[in-house]
Amino acid sequence: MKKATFEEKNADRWTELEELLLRLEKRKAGTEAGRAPALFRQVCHDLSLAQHRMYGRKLCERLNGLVVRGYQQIHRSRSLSWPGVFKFVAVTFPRAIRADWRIFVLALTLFWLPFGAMIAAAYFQPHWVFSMLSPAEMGMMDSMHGAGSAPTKHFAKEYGDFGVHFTMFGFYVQHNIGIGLKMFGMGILFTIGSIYELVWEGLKLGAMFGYLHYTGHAENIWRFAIGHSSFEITGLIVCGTAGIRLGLGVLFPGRLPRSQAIAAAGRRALPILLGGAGMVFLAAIVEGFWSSQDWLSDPVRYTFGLGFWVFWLLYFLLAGRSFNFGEKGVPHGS
Amino acid sequence: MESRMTGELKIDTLQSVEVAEGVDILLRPAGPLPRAYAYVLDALIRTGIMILLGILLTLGAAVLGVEMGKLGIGLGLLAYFLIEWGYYVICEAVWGTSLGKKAFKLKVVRTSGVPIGWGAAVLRNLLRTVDGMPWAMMCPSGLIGIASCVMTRKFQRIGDLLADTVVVYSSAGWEYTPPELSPAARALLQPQPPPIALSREEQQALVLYLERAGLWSEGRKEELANHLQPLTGLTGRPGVEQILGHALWLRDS
Repeated sequence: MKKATFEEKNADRWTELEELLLRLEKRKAGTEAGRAPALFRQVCHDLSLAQHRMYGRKLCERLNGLVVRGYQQIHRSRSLSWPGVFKFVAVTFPRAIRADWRIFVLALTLFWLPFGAMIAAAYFQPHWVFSMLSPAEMGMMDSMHGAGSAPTKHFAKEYGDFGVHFTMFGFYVQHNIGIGLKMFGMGILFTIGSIYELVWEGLKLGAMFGYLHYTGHAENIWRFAIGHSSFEITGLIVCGTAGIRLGLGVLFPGRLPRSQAIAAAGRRALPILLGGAGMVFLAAIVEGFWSSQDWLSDPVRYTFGLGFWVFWLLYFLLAGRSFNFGEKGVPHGS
Repeated sequence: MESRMTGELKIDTLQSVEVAEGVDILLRPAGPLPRAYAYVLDALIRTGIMILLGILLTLGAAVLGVEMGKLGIGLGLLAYFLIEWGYYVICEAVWGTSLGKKAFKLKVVRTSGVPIGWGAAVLRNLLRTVDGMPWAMMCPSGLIGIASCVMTRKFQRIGDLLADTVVVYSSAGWEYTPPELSPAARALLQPQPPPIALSREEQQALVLYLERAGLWSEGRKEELANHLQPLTGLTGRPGVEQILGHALWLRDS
């Protein structure tokens, strides 16, 4: 067949697909979208014919463009949905954590050990605590959790008391999730970035608590932190877990080429990261609107706070274990 | 096109990807330079949005009669977080490109050629911290990202490797058609079959000669055509016309 005949014979189909693609790309296609797969397969065939018969660059590029655009419309990824979110919370996230439970335990240790060491240091070697904090930070701790103070008062002094809880919420979202996301990304540097951040945050937070232990106002910060700590600290540690997962993909590619091993580690770390970031977000809500309610009595605070810790423990151990969610075959990761 | 798909010897950056339907499509990955332009533009846009929001929040506070730094600070911090971490993720997940990239006709796709979803958008953009390293005064130098781009065939920074994505020229912008022969020059040529059977690659070389001839000076055309003296038996201008004739015959008939 001559090139001209080929073009003439198929021009209508190409134009039809072209117009349909324009509508699909603007998400304005109606029922005629049903024609797209058939038209797309035909144009795929046309392209391979045109390439084989050397109908020239111009035609091949036009058909290639149609195939690329059609391919992108037909293989568009699904958008977010509520059932998807529910499945993620109920099944995907806890299973992903259990699949990498060794890394999770390592990350927990990397954070809590320095944290505990710093509090112990407050009693035996206080200069360790002082070496971790700048004078300004110590002043801030005094202002937030010192004698007769509370974080709301600290923030109220700076931002006024109207909307103080909302200000705190905004601050915790911006500050804490930022730390979590950074902790994740740095993991790609052969896990060192995440390990460093975990230990550093453990030391820093431990020093802040230790400082208040030293000054004798420890109960102020514990009663404040107990409510949201299970979300916040665990969430950050989960982000660190995801980061270490990335680094391990780089360090131990297994049988894959390293570039593919990185991508595989990314796919595996993604649910862990999203879960961790979600936890830190929830923590910001709890911290801004619950922990900061000064009138809540200590028994209520500690009951709820410990209850949240138990909840997270059970969640990571049990959630999604016997859930099949309509999938055939053995659930992975448990 | 065949040599492009099999050959190790590539002189362009086109990447062919075989799709499920069995054909190969060509993607043109974008190098570090256009992406750096896009990055700078995006940075300006993000700063602009922040400044605009700051002004709006201040004005809003003034209209409501409350002091800025009350509700406004909380909103401002949330907005800052969204723009700092969410700008790229949202743009790329929803439109497949950011505003800066769009201006330079770039978009992000998976290495398989399909549009990226939320997961890939999150992964590739969280790695900006690392790709931007080393940082100096809040400004990324991007050396790690550039090194990674240079070392990978598809110009992938580390975030791209992780998310299995590649930044390509969007199809609307990259079709480059070299000027072909003018109709007048075309009319002078006589399509005629080559005297001997040519292999596919040889045929292709002739067709490419025709399609690129418009780019070259007369001298260059003759220089190239002289290499084909064994085929045409001619040199100089007549050789060029002979080859163009063969190419026309091969392609158009």
